[in-house]
Amino acid sequence: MSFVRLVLFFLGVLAALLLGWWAIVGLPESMLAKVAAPSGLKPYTQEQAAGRETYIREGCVYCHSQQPRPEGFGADQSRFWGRPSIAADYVYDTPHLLGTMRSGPDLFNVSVRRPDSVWHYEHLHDPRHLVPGSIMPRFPWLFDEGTSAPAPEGRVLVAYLLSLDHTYPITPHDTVESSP
Amino acid sequence: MIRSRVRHSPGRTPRKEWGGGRCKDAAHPHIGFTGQGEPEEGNTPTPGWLWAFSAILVVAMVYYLVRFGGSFSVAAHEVEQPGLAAAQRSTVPVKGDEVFSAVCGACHQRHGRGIPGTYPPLVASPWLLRDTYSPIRIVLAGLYGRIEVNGAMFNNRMPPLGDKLSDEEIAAALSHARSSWGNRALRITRSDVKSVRESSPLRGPWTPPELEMAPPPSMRPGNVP
Amino acid sequence: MTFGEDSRDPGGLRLNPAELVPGLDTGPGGPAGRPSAPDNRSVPSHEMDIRIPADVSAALPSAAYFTGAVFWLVIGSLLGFLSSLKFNSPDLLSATPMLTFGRVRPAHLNAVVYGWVSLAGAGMTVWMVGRLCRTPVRWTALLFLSALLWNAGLAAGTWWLIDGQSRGLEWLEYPRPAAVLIAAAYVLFALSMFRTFSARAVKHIYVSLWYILASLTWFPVLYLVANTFSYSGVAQAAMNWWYAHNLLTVWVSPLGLAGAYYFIPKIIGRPVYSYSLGVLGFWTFALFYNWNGLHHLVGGPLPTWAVSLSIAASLLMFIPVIAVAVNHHMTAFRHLGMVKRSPVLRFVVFGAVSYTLVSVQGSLEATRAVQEIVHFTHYTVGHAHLGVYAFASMVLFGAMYYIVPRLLMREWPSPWLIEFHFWTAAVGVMLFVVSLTFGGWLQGMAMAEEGVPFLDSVAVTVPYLWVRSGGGALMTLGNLVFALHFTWILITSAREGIRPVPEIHAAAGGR
Repeated sequence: MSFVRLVLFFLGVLAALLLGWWAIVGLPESMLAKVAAPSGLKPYTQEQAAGRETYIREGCVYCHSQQPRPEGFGADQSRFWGRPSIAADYVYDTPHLLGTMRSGPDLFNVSVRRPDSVWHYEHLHDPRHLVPGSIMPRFPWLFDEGTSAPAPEGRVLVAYLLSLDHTYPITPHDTVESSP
Repeated sequence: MIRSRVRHSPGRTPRKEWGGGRCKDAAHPHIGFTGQGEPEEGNTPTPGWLWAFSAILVVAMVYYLVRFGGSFSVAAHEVEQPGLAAAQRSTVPVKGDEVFSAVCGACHQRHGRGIPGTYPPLVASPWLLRDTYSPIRIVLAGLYGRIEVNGAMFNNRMPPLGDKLSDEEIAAALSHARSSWGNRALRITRSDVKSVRESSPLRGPWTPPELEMAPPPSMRPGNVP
Repeated sequence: MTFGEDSRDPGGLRLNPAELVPGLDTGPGGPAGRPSAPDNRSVPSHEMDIRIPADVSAALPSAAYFTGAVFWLVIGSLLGFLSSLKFNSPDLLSATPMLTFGRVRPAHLNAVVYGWVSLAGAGMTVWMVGRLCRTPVRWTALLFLSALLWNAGLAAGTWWLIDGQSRGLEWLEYPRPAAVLIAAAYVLFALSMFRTFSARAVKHIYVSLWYILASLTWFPVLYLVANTFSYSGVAQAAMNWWYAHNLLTVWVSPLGLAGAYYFIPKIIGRPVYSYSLGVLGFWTFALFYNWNGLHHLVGGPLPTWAVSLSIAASLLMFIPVIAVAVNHHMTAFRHLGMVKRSPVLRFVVFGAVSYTLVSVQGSLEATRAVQEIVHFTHYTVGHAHLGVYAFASMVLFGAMYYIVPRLLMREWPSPWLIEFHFWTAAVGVMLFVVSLTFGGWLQGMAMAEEGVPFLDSVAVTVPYLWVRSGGGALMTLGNLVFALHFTWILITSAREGIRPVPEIHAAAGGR
């Protein structure tokens, strides 16, 4: 292989990768950067943000998605999981927790369905007591030993779960950001 | 010398090959375990059908992008649901059993029998069935404290759902509970929920005695004394 | 015998076709009085002059990578098996935070992908680059440092995940210090490989080397880009899945393909079917595979056009997949009887067939029609294992069974254990994939059905998840046996020393 062909080879493979990045990540990112938060979406409080860290630490994302899909994609809409999510719903999410498994239900609007902290405590302590047939693990270390009262980590996690309510109204402007 | 021992005569001792292999095929000594060099490529040309297939596939994918690419904006779901921009809360009509199993079933369970000692049953529960406004009040504002249901005592709390669920959803879920598992009671309509919501100011959760004492709400504005 | 420059074939081109014809060897007694190959069907003497120094230079670095690979294979298998059992018995070990599913699963994935597959692939690459460039591997000190840093990164990353310090991005969970260690290790590895390549004594570059060179270029860029840009929200999700899918594009798949392209013709002793198909397959692979990824988020909040682009690119993958499939299978199927006699070929052909299967499945799976059912289900997990285990790992097993004896100058102690490993791995992964494919499909059907309670979609998978665990147990068992066998040959070599080179190579059929 001549030197020129070799240079072309390396430029070619590098270009292929960067082109893919630009098309799939770079270009969408430059569009998504203009998306603003809907008025109904509030940034996480300190407590909720701490709970989000617990959510990440215990790997909830490996079984729970946060992205209700539209009619025609599964039965998400009939499960009361909320309207199809849009990019504007996620502007405060770093890292994103969209998820790719539903060994458990979608949690994007779990606070609408389970607004009570007590339910969440009991559920995290022993899922099968409240949901027979559930395959969710128990999380006893989120509670004080002995008293079964929620430990700070459990409290912030539930605070985060209770913040998951994205049923605020969205406008066409939120859905389709018109470029200036 | 090893050489003499591994010397291979066709049809006799099978030769060993590192990697657990055995070369038994003495009839074809030119294949197998005798590839002297590093591998190289043969000269077979790419079949014409593969070029044709590739060309067709590329054209098809260009068509796919034109047809299903959506507009070149951040909008999602354009293919699945072109009118999403107008969508607000949910895109399908409310069904009582779905709301019930998604929301209420978490505690009262799908069979409406609750969890003994923890969450009270709805089956034959007077709190649900005796009138239309009490269950609406419970759902809107919540309930806490000791409560007796069908002879069993519970001490727990039910969260207020008034700001989580719409009138239509509350009406659908309650109507489902009041007509399932042997329950037979009047349907609750959206306007029933609306009038209870409007007649009572925002308040915290009820206690069972409060709920029993509270007078019925005026179901129509004209009835206010 | 000299190991220096002068031992190269001065022509350094493709082999003379005459050398492939049996009986043309000059017979005993090479030019330097060196013992020649043992019989008249073996390698020409000048070929051995090139090959032995290449193998000797690769021996210790490759062995170092392989040792790490086997260690992480064991760790990864055990973590994976534990994750699988937790689906059958959610209360298993559930009182220990470090062993909760949400920590064990990412630790499994990372240990297997960045540990086993990557290190085994690096070991294979080091050996193969020496062979294919017809020259000793250069800058081997960098390779030892690389193996050290790589294992340190894996150990730190795994510990941090188990300890609950994930970054929260799938496939990028390791905290940054661990990622930096692994990236540094990779760069050292790539430097040594490029240096060796630039010293090559061959004009024609064999197709395996194309994939390796592309991979060495791609991986550092990909890893750097993914770890540098800090997007948030949906853009981060796009980046996340572009990265995760491209890790397969730029690293796992090229490794498997390079291995299959090398070992199938190598063992059969015939050229790979078609150069032209190789070129078509490689460049369409490079062009289309990089656009994949967003189909992991079909139905999600991403711009429609970007998702559609990924789906179209996934379908375009049919072109390289068919090209590679024809190339591999036409080479192998003419001599299919040989898989009975050569475990190496059996592993590699199993991997090559799995590559075709997993790619066809993946392209179809990316479409909206199929995603509607299988997205978010165990089906995807089955698909992932068809790719990373049935394809990449099986090729790497085959590669190790071939390479390790040539590094340590001795045959594997027990052919029986190799057989055992093959059948446990093959049957295990088939059980695993088939059960999750059916179970995941039923799960998806239940999830897509209005009025079916969500819990029913969990309940329907239960028997399939048990079968999956059975498959996982077989895979784990086979991997443990492999690790045992590998330790055995390592210990024997350490105890008895590595025997003199030319005679041993001769005993191996000169190959």
